[in-house]
Amino acid sequence: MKVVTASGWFAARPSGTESIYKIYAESFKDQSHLNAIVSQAEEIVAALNSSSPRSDSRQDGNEREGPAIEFSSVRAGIPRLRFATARHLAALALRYRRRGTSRVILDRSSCPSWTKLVADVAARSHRLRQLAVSIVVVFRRNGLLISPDWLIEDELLRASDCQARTFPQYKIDYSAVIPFKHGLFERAWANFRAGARADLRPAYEQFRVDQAHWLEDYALFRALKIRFGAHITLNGPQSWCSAKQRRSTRFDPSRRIKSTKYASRSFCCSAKANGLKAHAHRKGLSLIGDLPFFVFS
Amino acid sequence: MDLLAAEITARTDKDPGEHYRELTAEFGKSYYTRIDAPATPEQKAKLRELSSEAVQASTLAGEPIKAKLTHAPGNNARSVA
Repeated sequence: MKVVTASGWFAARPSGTESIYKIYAESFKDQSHLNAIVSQAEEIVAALNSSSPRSDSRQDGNEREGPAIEFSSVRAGIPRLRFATARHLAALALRYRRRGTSRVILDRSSCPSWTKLVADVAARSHRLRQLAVSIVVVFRRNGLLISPDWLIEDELLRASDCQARTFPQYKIDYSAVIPFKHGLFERAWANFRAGARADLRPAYEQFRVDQAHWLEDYALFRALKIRFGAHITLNGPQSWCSAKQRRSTRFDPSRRIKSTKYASRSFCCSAKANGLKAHAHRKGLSLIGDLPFFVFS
Repeated sequence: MDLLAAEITARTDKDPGEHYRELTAEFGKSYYTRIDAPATPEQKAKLRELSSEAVQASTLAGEPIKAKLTHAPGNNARSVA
């Protein structure tokens, strides 16, 4: 079906292959006219078919959850891109909300400024419209999340440790940044073991006890991953490494001490995640869950 | 579609984007979107079998509706299938 006016039209049709219908619309005036056409088109289709899922969800107020939009390559460490990303995510969240979908998954495993990104997205979606837009931000427990600034704040590194070299401002050279950060973690870990911030030690030991159900395996996995590289599979704790690899003569059990290093990174991530929660609460956002976070604005 | 775009570019020395810009300069800019919404097979069947009388509205986005088409004007084929 196609409905035509002097300066715009819409067409609605059922999909031939999927359980959806499609609305196509065009305006020769401007974006707001197009938006008006689309919303009226949705109403017309809903009225034609009073049992359509959209009208149902409107009546009972339940939010339908549609396919999530996933991002995996947002380099939000760069402020300019961070703002663009936040704007884009907020716009997408709104758009999908109108279609009964409001979940955006943002995989920011290597974004150093996710605190700001989350706040930006929330602020923008809030400003654009008073909608309960939910944005799911998935953080991996990746040590690379740890900002050198945090380690300096925590007095595990000196500022001079991080100034050893500079990186381009508008381009992330992962092959250079990753080894550099690992080097910083090594230094921070060495400082910690040598007695720096001894006051953190009880909290760290407690964290290892409390989180032992996953942490020891995970830390061992990280250590094995460094040792065996790509031969370690990533499907879950049970398959992180084979029994053979665990027993491997090349893997001396004494190396297990190395895994404490990775446990310390998870500890640092966890402490910062709690900091993020507190930050979000101050901004009026509630974070539901631990990792991943479910952010509601 | 990609081959057509390649042929347009090869034959006219302008890519389809440039042609489009010329058209918008001549006729004005247009704003287009497409949205998908969930529908059950029954709902899809209803939408497919619609008659133009089913649309009660007389205006769309503040303008009088000029046409409600369920078949293509040229060959009377169903415009939505």
